[in-house]
Amino acid sequence: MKDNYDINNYTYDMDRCIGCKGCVWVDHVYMPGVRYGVKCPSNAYKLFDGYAPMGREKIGKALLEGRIDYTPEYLDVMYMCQLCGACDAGCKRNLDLEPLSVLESLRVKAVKDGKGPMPAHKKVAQNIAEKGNRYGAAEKRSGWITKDTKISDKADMVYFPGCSASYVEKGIAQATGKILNKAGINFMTLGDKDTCCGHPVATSGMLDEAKAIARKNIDILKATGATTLVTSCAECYNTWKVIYPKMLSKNFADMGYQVIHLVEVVSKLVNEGKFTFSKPMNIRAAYHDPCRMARQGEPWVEWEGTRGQWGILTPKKEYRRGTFGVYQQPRDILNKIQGLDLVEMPRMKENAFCCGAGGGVMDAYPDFAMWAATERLTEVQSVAAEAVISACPYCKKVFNEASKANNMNIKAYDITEIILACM
Amino acid sequence: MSIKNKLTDLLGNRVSDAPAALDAYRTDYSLASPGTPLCVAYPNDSKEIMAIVALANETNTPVVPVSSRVHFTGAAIPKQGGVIVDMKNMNKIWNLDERNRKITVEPGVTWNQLYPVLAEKNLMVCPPMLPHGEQSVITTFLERSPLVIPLYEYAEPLLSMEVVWPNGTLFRTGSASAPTFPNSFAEGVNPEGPGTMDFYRLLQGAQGTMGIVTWAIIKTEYLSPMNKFFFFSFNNIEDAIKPTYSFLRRKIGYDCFIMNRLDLALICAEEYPNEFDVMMKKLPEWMIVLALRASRRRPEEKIQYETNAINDICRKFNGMQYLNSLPGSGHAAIRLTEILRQPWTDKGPYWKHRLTGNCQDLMFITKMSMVPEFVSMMTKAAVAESFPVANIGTYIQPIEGGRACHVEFNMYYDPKCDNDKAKVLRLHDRAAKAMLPHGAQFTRPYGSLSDMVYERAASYTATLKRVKKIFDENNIMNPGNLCF
Amino acid sequence: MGIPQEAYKAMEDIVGSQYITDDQVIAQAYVGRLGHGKDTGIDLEMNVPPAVIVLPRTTKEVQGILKIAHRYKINYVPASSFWISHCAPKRPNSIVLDLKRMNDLEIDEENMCAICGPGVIFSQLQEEAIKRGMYTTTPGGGSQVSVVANHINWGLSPLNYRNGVPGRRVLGGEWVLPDGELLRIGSMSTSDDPFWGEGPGPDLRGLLRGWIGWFGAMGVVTKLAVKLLPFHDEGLKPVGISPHTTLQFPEKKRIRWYNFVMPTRESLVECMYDIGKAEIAAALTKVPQQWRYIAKAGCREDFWEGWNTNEARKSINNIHICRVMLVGYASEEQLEYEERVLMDIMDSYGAKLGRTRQSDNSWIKNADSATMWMMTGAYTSVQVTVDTVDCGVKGGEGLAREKPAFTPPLMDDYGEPGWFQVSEIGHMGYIEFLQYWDPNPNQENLYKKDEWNYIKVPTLDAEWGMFNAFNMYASPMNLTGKAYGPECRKWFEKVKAEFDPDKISNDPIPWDVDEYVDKVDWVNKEDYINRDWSKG
Repeated sequence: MKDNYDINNYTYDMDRCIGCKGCVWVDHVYMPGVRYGVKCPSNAYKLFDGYAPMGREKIGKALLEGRIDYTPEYLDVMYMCQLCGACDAGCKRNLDLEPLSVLESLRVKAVKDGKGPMPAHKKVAQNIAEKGNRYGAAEKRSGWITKDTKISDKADMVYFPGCSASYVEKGIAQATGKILNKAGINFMTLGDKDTCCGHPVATSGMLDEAKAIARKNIDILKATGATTLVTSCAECYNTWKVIYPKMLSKNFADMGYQVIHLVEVVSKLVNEGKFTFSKPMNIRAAYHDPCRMARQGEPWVEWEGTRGQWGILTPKKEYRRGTFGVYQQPRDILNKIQGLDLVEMPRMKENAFCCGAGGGVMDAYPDFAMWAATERLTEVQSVAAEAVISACPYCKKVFNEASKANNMNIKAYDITEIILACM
Repeated sequence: MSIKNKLTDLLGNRVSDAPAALDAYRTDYSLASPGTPLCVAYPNDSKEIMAIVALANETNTPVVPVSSRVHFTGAAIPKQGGVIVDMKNMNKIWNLDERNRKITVEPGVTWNQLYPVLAEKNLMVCPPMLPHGEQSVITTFLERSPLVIPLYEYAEPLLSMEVVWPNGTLFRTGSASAPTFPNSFAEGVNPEGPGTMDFYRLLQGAQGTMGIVTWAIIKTEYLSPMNKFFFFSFNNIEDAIKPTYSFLRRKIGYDCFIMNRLDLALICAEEYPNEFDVMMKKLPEWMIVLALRASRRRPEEKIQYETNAINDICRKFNGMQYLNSLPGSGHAAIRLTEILRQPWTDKGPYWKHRLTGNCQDLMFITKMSMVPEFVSMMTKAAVAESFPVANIGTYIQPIEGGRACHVEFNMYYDPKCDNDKAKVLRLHDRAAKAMLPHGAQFTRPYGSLSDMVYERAASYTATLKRVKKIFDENNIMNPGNLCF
Repeated sequence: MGIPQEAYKAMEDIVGSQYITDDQVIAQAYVGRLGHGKDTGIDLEMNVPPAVIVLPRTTKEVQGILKIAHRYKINYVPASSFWISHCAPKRPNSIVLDLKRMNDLEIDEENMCAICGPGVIFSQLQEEAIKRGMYTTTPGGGSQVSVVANHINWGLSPLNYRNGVPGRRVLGGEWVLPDGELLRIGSMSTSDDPFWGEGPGPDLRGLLRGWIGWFGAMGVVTKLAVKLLPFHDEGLKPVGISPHTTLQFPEKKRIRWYNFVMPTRESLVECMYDIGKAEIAAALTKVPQQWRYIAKAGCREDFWEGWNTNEARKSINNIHICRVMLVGYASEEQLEYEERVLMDIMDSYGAKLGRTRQSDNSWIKNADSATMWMMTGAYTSVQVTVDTVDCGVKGGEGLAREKPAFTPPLMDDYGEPGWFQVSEIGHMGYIEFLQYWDPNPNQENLYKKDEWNYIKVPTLDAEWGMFNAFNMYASPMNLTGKAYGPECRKWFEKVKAEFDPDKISNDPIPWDVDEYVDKVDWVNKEDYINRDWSKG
């Protein structure tokens, strides 16, 4: 069985990078100008090419070929990256190489070689192992549930709130419950078996631990009999839809469950006229596409085969290019809300600039995460918006922290909160 | 053995040091001081030029290349004596290539000579404003005379050239540098290179200091089967600028320039001075001249869409009016149609010499938006020098779609009057000094301008001198000009 | 080894510690293996990691760095987008000047020029230009290349049709000479405004670049004004999600593409001449067959399914596509007029107008240069001549006849005679001859792709009299530098000796091929060094 995280499966991708920096620049068709022209947060923050995906690939190759060894700078190069996947969509615009898989696999190799992950990642992994959540919180995971939230004992749909909405951004989980209730959709939770999806463990390269979490979670879901898992978190969404099957070398289609984000549920109802908004919201807001639901939101498609002359793959590979991510659904919802003036930022959809929190960066490099969030908020300001709306609790949190730290007076909302407020 | 004798060994009787022969090179129409050459040589080909240059290097003798039969700038006056290399015998025209729209000429070919050759085939070389018929075509372009057609982005008509470098070696620039040229696939229409240097640019504006061009391939264009002139009147130059930008931004028309009343009357009056006098009374202070010229296919339709576009622009300028003929001259449009495609062919003096007998130009490159400021500075300088403002002609030639423009102040004076000459020289220098810090680009620093400009262009001057030293180790090529 | 500690410290003081590094992990990101020239012999054999990478912000900082390099005799390599293997260090202990921080961009809308730092790329400039009803010509090198670097080096594009080659679009600017001294060119020689390219007297732009540039072997251009060109004012709307993003043309008839199928190659050439002579159109190009198959393919495997067919093989001689863009600069009426003229011309040749999408995703703002590597993983252009259209056609057909002897390792393109297009409204034509190969080193005779690139094509160029810009960089200077001019190499040597006597500015460019072929066993240098090239 092919190991999708074995760096040796990606030497062609590393070697055939031609340095067009499609991984760094916003798609040229959408290029907004000098300001906001870069979509790779790490290369915008650390300007040396070593911090661009194309540079990381060359550095990774040098490591594999024994020209360099692990050093603190090497680990910074590999971990100072949100794994936001902007590079991946950019590269597949022209060349169909796999920079995101390369970056993930180089982290896995670092862990296997005993050099990774970063200390902060180990602490998070330990929290998950010991307490079932990334924060190491001792409280019950179900603390978000309010009395007026109707949760079924048995339903075809499981709501998986994730660590953030369970402990920190509880309002998102509460809003999700109420929205589902209003929509008349029965749902259940995993109850006391609810736990972390393992996203931080997987992205830090701790493959064995992440696989164990995946198998356990999949078994728990199966035991409920539910076939659909709904999330309000882009990271959880991506973990169930992409990382689990990728780690287990299976097509997502063969995983035996469906994964949807709340915005997919609501937008379908909104577009069918079955969900309406009764209250206006008078704000001018920009929508921020969360990386793992937008350009990384396509389901995992397993491929195994050989590469021949001219680099031809047999059999053909079905590429995940970010084309069919969750882009339009949140916009459809927000456009239906009276008074809400939805504006697009220069970097949007597959070219969106990551909030900065993902890929373990918030844990290991909080300054970088805050810088990225601040950079994104300047973009919100550039379109004269007073608020930014996302569909991931990590985005909301880091945006609000950055806004406060920089006195930017921009409010960050999760889309669930907006929907709830306007119902 | 004197240099003259050595040259005679090379060229036979095509060398002269007769005072009458030398006298022709001592002065020109400019205010530059006279300079006397040792002798004049009349080579027939590039091999002879190579030999002359080699000899000049051996004997440390200045070489002054001369191509035109008439001179206006002082650049061909020998500043340090030496040998005049007069290329009047090198006046061949060949390879008129209609398919690729080009022609090859030697430096002695004048506008009078070239024009009919091309016109016979309905072709032209993109022309400057009414060049003197005895001017060398190659020199006109090497010296960057602006073109009356600002439509083309690639304004420079010079393509590949052959040159004798100051060290006496022969070289071909551009795609004619291909080793087997002209028996090559390349036909010499690319001016750039070869390799990492644009040799042709080092020859441009060089006033003969960087080498002697022995032939050049020149781009040709089509003469238009149909023309329509538009004249826009303005009392203030400020008001003429924005409409000009608008026409050119939309690529409307071919010829386009602005002139003040004096210059326009001087070029448009067929009968001087009667018609000139009438026009001076009837013309407005400033005028944009815009010529629509049809292409060979569907000519009427082209003129029509451009006319409609002009009307559209006029509406945007609050109903700006235009005329299709000039006040005071019912046939000016017809006349301009013809004369803007030719050298000056009227009987009598050259247009710049019509009014008072001579003219001193002050010309530079600037942005069109800055023209009013420079016009005002010129007026102030004239008043300060008690020079009659009425005797200053102004010609503004937009370049390359209006990206920049050539500004030319024509100071008309009586060459026989020493007082006039002194006054015009003072005015020239005063105005130049005032304009230089305001961004006037004197890319052709003739005479007294050179010290002024090169003093300001410190790094450019230092680098130019290093480049000159590479090409002309002994500084034999037309010394005393520019910063050399 | 590295560079002297005091030199490093001095540079650190200039740019600040966060913008300089000698870390050898980071240095790996700057080892060649990128862009045009990747996987050729020089890329594989000569590129080495730099000792130091420095990111200056200002001209003054660049001057400081170059003066330190000059004092300590340290080789340096300036690079903006690293899209060409010439701008990668080939000497040990080099400094790389990564110029991406120098990304100031100022537009003079009224006077149609853009003042750019070397860190500004084409799509960024194009965005600003189109917003203002103007455009620049995004080159074949791609949207991601530096505007400054491309203008001073190369810059061909079908959009040059109306506007001439980019060497003619360089205006004023600041150029730090190899020893760190600042030269202000064009109108900046006497003022602070770079709007005009000519300086007083001889034009020193002639030293900056020729038919191609120095690729950093003559210092660093830190600021350059380039021409912007009139366009229509209706804008172009980006639509779609990657990889299917494109610029949609406005409904108003201000810009249109037309694809014509011509009956013969001869008619394709003749119609190009006629269109030029009619002084219509904004772009005019032939479409090579393999590009059509790339455009139709969803992935590399799709391409090969299409290309490995008799239909594709026959298409080289049977299908001749002429692609024309019209722009109504003045009005919709202009476009309508030009369309009527175009149809007159095309009807006279029996051309058929094919279905044409009214959008653009490959020339105006996004140029898919990276797609050239899609088919096989390796690509170079070996011929880039601008002269007449006839010259281009003859040269392309000649190379197509010679190429089979080098195929494999080159990809079989069935005798495709190259990509040609028209420039300067028909006064010039452009031929680009492309090759693709599989860079997998486990192949027999892979060296032949270098023999073709470095020796065979330049030899044919000189024999036939082509005017290949890449000659000075993709062939020994002892061959083409001797043949062209003649002896243009001697001038380059003299200029280099005067301005960079210690050869610290990106050595050994442009003599790298001479150095490379000295080390290989498949070149007989006597063949070209002793040859009298004037006889072909």
